[in-house]
Amino acid sequence: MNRQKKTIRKRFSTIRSTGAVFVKNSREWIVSMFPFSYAALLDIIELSLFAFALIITAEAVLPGIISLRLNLAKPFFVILILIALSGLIGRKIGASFPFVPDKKSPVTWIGISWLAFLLTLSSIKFSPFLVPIIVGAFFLIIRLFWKLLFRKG
Amino acid sequence: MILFDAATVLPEKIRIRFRWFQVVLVLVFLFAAFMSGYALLFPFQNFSFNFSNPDTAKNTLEDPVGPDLTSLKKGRVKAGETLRTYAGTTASFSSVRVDLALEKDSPLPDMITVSLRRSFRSFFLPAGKPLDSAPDQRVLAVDGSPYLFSQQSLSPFISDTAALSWAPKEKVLPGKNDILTIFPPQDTLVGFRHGTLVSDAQGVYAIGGDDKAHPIGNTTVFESLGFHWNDVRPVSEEELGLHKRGKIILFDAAQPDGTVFLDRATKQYYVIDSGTKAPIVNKDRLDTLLGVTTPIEATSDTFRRPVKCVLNKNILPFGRTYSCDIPIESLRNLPGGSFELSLDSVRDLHLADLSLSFHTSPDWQNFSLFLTQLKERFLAVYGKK
Repeated sequence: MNRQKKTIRKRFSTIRSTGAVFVKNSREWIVSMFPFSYAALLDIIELSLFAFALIITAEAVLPGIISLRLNLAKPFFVILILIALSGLIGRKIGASFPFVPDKKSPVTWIGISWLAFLLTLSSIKFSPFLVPIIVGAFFLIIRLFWKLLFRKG
Repeated sequence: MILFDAATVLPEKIRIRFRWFQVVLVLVFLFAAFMSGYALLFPFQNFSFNFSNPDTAKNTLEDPVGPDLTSLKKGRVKAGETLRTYAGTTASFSSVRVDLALEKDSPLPDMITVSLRRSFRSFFLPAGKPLDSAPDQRVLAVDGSPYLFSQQSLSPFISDTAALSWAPKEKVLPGKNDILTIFPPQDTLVGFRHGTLVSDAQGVYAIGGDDKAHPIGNTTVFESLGFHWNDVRPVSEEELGLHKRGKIILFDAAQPDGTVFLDRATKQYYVIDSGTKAPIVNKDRLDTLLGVTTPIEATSDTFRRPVKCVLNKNILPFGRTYSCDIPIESLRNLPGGSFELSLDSVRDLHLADLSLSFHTSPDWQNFSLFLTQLKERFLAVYGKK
């Protein structure tokens, strides 16, 4: 009886310290559901974000092509909920992938080019002289925010 | 995967399993992308009505009506009676599957015939009393200000734009000052004629028969209801404020009172008036209306060319369900995005559920139609013709 109590106490202490739930299956400790769920959630979020970016691009190029069939707010909220959930599990297991912008990463530049493309497209009905001003002003504001948010110290 | 390697948070032992999970996940997303692309190329749309819960917002078919527009939303259809309901859509479909479920207490029918017609929602309205007299209302310009003269009373317009929604400039009659003493102007201001399309910074509105400004859902709804962009009058907040905000107009909405239709087949003009489609016979009235609005072109051919099918009892599931398929390719070139479904039975029926599923068959013709629509949309957005 005491031995059982000791084992259970040990397991709870493991859960408290790591957030991981270990299930004994035959000889090996197999599943740590929280870390696995966390990793799975991150991948689902990543793929969902790419899919959402594709949908947004299609919608920007041809307004109504998607939004007439699908309410874009729904997948957006699902992604937000997944991100919140991943943050929650991440905190439990003490893992995180903080947003660290890297100017040298090609992904950053692909993202910036995509934003510039969407902006140019949405301002296409403006005078050709105004479009670079609108796009430039947007990126200037973004840069200022960037400096504010990610300033050192 | 690309942005970060989530597997790093996992113990070494289960990383290989996680890699397998990633493969499955990518396959699931690829399958979902394929299915979404397929649904985009060959769209389908479902409409339904639950007779045991007729007031739920989940019902996407319009409230069913019987002869004389009596409500049949409880699903009790008498022998020989015709049930009618409507579905509004934009896509070009190939076929419709009609599914009908009966309540347990319903007699089993010998034969139920279903027919489908396509036009504009208001063009399906019954014909009204022919308008063979000159308009009852006249627009007068007294001392440079417009007034509406109606039923021996004079009311000032809120603006010139509002006055010109009732009659074109050439139909505005000059009035002498003494008319203001004979008919002292009313205190209430007159806004826009019913059926007028107005716009502000937020969007486009149709002035309905309830005198309210009904916002139009989006540009596709606007075009699918047959409205013309040239008819939209930009108005000020004050002008629009005279009309209360009404219910939003979506695909299944009827064109409001005051909307003018031209029947291509008979060259007859109609105006929508209190739930009827009144033929305009008087030339002065017609000229006045055509001076302020562009008619929506419809065709009465649609009433002569319904597509039909007879509902057959389904073997599975075991229940009182009936269905049939109607090819609707012959309706494709008819104007209007509203489908009228008529259901005739020779016996009394107690309906439980009715649903319409519009399908596009995956063939080359529909694929090229999709590409043509894509091109048209692209040219409409980017302004190259």
